[in-house]
Amino acid sequence: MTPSPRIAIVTTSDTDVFQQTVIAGARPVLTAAGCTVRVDVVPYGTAWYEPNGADALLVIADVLPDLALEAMLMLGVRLVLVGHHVPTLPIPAVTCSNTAGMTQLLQHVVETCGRRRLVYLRGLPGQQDAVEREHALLDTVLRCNLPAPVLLRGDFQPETAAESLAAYCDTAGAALPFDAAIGADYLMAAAALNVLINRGIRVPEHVAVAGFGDGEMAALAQITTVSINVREQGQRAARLLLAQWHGAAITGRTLLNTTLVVRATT
Amino acid sequence: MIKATHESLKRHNRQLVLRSLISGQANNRAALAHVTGLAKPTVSDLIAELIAHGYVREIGLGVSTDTGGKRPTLLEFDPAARQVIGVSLEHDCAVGVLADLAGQIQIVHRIDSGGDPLRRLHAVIAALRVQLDAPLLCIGVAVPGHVDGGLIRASSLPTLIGQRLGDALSAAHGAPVVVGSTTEYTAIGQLAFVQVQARHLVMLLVGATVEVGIALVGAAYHNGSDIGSLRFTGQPTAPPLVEALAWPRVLERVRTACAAHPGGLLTPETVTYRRLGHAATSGDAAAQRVIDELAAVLAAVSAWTIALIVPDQVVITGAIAAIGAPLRDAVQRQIAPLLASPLLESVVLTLAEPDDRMAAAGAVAAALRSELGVL
Repeated sequence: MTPSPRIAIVTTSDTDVFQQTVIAGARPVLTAAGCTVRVDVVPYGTAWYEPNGADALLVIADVLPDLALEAMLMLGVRLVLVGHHVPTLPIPAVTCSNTAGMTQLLQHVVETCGRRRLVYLRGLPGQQDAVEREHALLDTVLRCNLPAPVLLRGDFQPETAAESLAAYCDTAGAALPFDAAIGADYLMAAAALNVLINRGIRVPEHVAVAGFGDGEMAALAQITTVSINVREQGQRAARLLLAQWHGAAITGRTLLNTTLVVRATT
Repeated sequence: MIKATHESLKRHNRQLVLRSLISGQANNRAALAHVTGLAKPTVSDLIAELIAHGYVREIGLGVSTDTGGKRPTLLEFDPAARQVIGVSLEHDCAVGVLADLAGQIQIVHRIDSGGDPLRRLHAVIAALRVQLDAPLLCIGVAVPGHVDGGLIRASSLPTLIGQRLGDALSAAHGAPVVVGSTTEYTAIGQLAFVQVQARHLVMLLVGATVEVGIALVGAAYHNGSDIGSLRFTGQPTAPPLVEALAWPRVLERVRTACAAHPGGLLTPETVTYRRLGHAATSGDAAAQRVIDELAAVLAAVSAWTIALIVPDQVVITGAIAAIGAPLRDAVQRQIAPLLASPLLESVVLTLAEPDDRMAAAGAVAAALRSELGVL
């Protein structure tokens, strides 16, 4: 009888929304296939990970550095990455299409809503999602002949994004030099919305607000976003992992579609 | 002469019925018989088979006819009944899509690496097969070069030349496979999935090679070929198209233009096609000069294409399309002296930025056309 594979889902958190949803998508697929599944919460930036008997790992985001992933490969551990990919390693990954999604969001803000002067709340410098989304923003700016956008520090932290936008508004004075605030994620967009409303700035009449990714907070705050099916990312990652367990040599990156969700802020 | 077999006739009739159902021409058995000209028992048998295989379902009763007859059972095509894999094999990557029978793309899978193109192709198909949500109907594959009757006669990927790729893939993956050139399938993809008004579409792809793809009358005829080795200036010493439009030559042009027009927005170190277009829009003389030089080459190719094929639309795609409106306008300006005006007036020239999924999506459309007669 073929032994049931032991799967470890490696993550920095099993309570944060993104990670929880990936796990909720992956676990049923894995357990239905007879796998034993455990969740290993490790600190961000962990230099080394001990598989402790796991036959295969589903690694969420960039919780493990490239060297640790390479070591797992050399140990013969099967791997799939979710929300991250390492082009130099033959590890299959499942992500959303940052470029297509950000382009979709900006097409709405710029071409449908007619906004031209953008403020952008950046993600974490060097982080893959942040780099790809910002690249798509700058490409759209060139393609649509927009004025250079104002890039503000956000680091995917709502508090940091709020401070940056507030400080910029303070220096800008009464006549706002922007007509749209875009967040590299929807939580920063929500923080931006609060800053603008607290200053009496009418959204969307004076400033449109939009962000990447979707969740309960975006829906409550009525923020326009592009949504990602995070549960599906987990499901598909689980399938790729199972295929590897059964001997298939899987490489490359699976990209899931994003969907524009138009709400009151644009 | 190819004799019609019973099976091929049945296949033809099945495709006829499906096309009529999907296009909305008919939504019940009697109407399908009327529209297709097939006998009612034939239609009923075909529908029974399609229902048994999950392609069609009954969705309730319609209204009676004017003569007050029995209410017809309404039929609906189920695009989720099967899935199709489309793959575009390129020089440095392979891009695959998984789509339903309406051509709606569910996921994209890509492998960005060099190495053996055939290994990349098999790897993409393998990764998509494990993610099927429905049985696999068929596979479409787009390759750079010229494909004739399933045989790859020419390609900038040398290991593909002389291969009957479709036969090998079909044997390996247990599904029918169609293979065509990248530009041909991109043209089909444009017609199938993008809102174009054209019936005759020619696509000019400028990338690692220069290819032309032709789809006429909604792709009843379609073909594609690599024209990169052609020279359009009539001088034997002129560089072939693929060199005249290659990025190193573009950079040379940028350096020369920047030297002639110093102090502008353009810099050779940071230039991209996008920045070239942006600079030209901002009035940069060096950028406009480079664009005019590129447009001269494209105008010559386009003029010959228009004169030979008389298409409704010529689409220029590839990385060069990122230049945008300045390039399109320059090409149109430079075609005008080369063609009789009635011909030129009947053609729309557009640019289409490369969508790395379009060729794979076109491969899906080609596969669906072959298997079900749809799209």
